[in-house]
Amino acid sequence: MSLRDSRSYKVVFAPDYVINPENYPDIPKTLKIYEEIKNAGYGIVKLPAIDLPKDQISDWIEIAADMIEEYQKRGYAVALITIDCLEDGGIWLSKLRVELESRGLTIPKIVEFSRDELEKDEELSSKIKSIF
Amino acid sequence: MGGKAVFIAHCILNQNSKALGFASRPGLVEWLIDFLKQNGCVIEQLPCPEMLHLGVNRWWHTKDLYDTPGFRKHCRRLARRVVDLMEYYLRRGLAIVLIGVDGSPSCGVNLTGKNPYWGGEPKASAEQYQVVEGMGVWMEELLKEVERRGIKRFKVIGLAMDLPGFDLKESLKMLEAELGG
Repeated sequence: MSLRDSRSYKVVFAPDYVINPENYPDIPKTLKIYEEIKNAGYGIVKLPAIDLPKDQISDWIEIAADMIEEYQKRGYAVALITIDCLEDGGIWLSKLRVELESRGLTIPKIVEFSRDELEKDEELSSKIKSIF
Repeated sequence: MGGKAVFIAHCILNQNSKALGFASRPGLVEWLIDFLKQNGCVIEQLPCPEMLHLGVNRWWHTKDLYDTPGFRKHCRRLARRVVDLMEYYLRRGLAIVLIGVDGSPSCGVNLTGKNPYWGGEPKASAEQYQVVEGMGVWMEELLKEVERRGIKRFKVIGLAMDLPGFDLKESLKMLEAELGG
């Protein structure tokens, strides 16, 4: 059994779009953000699709907040990725922020991508590399 | 191979959720995500019940240690949300596939880990972790919820990517066969 541990201690919370861009007809269908995260060695916590029925959203926000709280407590680096042309950044950012603030947690670094940036490979790449 | 929503164990996208000592990569299991995306699959990430319950510094656990009413209740609560998500994709006409991590006490599909003597003073070696046939606790509770809702059983695949002798080429071949239909 392998016991080396190669984790990066760096985690990004990302919109569904980052992994499943084909489900978003009006935005560039690019996996570039995923590719850059992969190359940078960050772990991804992907939130569900943004058009999930409203009654299901609060549980996913609670799950994300629980993970952020645990990672922060243990000294992991955490960031939130948002897309400006998706509702609430694609991660229910306003609701997540309220949940984190209610727990007295620091809001992780928010890295927002505009629609234009999604088509500019070099800018996107350098933005991902410099998250942490 | 398109038209599928593939639900993957949390750690496949986030190795930082693994029990300490078991993260084989810095961030994610790239060969599997790349394979699924190249084949037109939608990917959903399961929550990690181990990390949510015991945190990221948890001791190593066997299935015996996770097999408690409290942990199963925690898994059932998560399972309700995940199966809601499965129904969301089913309504959109996608087929569901579930991929777990064989050997895991919670996410194993064909293989899990046992040792009835683990417990008490935390002394353990990896060699004492007995990989045996069977499903992990999280997969059991998730599939119970699928059955409870009357969802037709879908493909459930276990990948032994953390166990010695893992063969990437064979796994890709198996995935092609399993997801091709």
